[in-house]
Amino acid sequence: MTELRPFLLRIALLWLVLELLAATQAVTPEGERVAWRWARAAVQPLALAVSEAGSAAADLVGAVRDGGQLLADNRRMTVAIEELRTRNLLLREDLAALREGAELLESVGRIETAAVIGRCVFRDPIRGRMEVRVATRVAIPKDTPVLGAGGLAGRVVESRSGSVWVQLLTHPAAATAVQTTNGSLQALAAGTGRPDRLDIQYVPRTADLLQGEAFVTSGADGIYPAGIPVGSVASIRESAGAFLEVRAAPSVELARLRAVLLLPDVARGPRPGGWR
Amino acid sequence: MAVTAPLLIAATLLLQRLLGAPGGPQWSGLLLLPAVWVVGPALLGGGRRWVWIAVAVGLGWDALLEPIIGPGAIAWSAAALFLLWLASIVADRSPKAWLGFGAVAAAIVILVHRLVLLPLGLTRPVRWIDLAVSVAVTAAWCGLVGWIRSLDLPKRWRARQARTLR
Repeated sequence: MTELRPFLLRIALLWLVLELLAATQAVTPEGERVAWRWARAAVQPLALAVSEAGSAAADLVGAVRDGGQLLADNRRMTVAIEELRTRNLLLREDLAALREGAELLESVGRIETAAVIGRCVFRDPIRGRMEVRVATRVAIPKDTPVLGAGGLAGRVVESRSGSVWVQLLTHPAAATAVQTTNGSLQALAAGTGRPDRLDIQYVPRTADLLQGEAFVTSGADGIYPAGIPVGSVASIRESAGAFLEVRAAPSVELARLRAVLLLPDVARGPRPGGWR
Repeated sequence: MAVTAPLLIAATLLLQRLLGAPGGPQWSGLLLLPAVWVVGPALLGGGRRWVWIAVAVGLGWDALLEPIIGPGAIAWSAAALFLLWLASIVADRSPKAWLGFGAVAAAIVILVHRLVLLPLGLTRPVRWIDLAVSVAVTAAWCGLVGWIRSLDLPKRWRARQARTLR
């Protein structure tokens, strides 16, 4: 039995060869060799499969390309959405600044000088400084007074092509000549490095001063015109020295400033009449 | 034997060619003379090598009698293979067995030949009367050969010679 199988296999193989030999000689009624027809019939499914596989591969490549395009579009649109969100936030900020600026402009009528509106782009009340952008090409001189909603914010210390750096009232090195609204008491408002506190210095023990009393600029420092609100008394304490220890809260919320008014003419020439 | 067998096979094929010549009786063209070369080896225990010899017989058949070479070789080797298997299960070796094996050989050769031509598109319709006549005359031919062989003429000839010498 073990020898029969290879024998039969050889016979079958020989028959196959003989059949193929006959096919190479036989001719169809159309004049075609039968072997050639068989070969075509054998190759046709393979060719069809290859063709279909090529088509499927092309479709796959197209799908991958489309997918990549979609991903790229998605990324681009995500970035665009983020940009729009950021722009929206900036616009909201600008709108708030504009409202604040409008409020400030309403107070311009009380100032006898030209004013330039500025947009706060950076503020550091702790260190007592702030950056302001102005749209005008007018040069902003050093020591230009800067007003916020409610009163004095500080003075310009540096100006460079639309960007203005302001020293706030609360800067540790800042000092402003102030007086009570009735002019009965002259003093000096010094920065403490804290955004909500000013030290009112040189207030004599005999001064008639109440908590909540307002201080305005006196104009004695030669920088600020007289009459601009600076702050109001927050606390009064006795001290060991010759003067009272008076603390005041700034009239302007320095930590929330969005828009300011700059008074460049004040710094350029003779002091105007001041705040009315 | 090594020389005479191929010569006898060739002679059989040539005679087969003559049998199919125009002018002869119709049955003569249906007689498969080479059937004896597949029936004989199967009944006499010729072994598997006769299947390969049947391939050669078939190729000769194709070369002499058919338009294409190949189908005849398959048909004759298939008949030889089947008879080889048939002889392994049939114990009879009498002239009747030769007759029966001849009939089977003729039927297989004709049917397998048609079957092989089928995928080539060259098949011809099998006329059952021709098939029957072919089977009958081929069986008769093989039976005749088996009967003659059973007479053991060489032995009788040697016995006669011995009697004459006495």
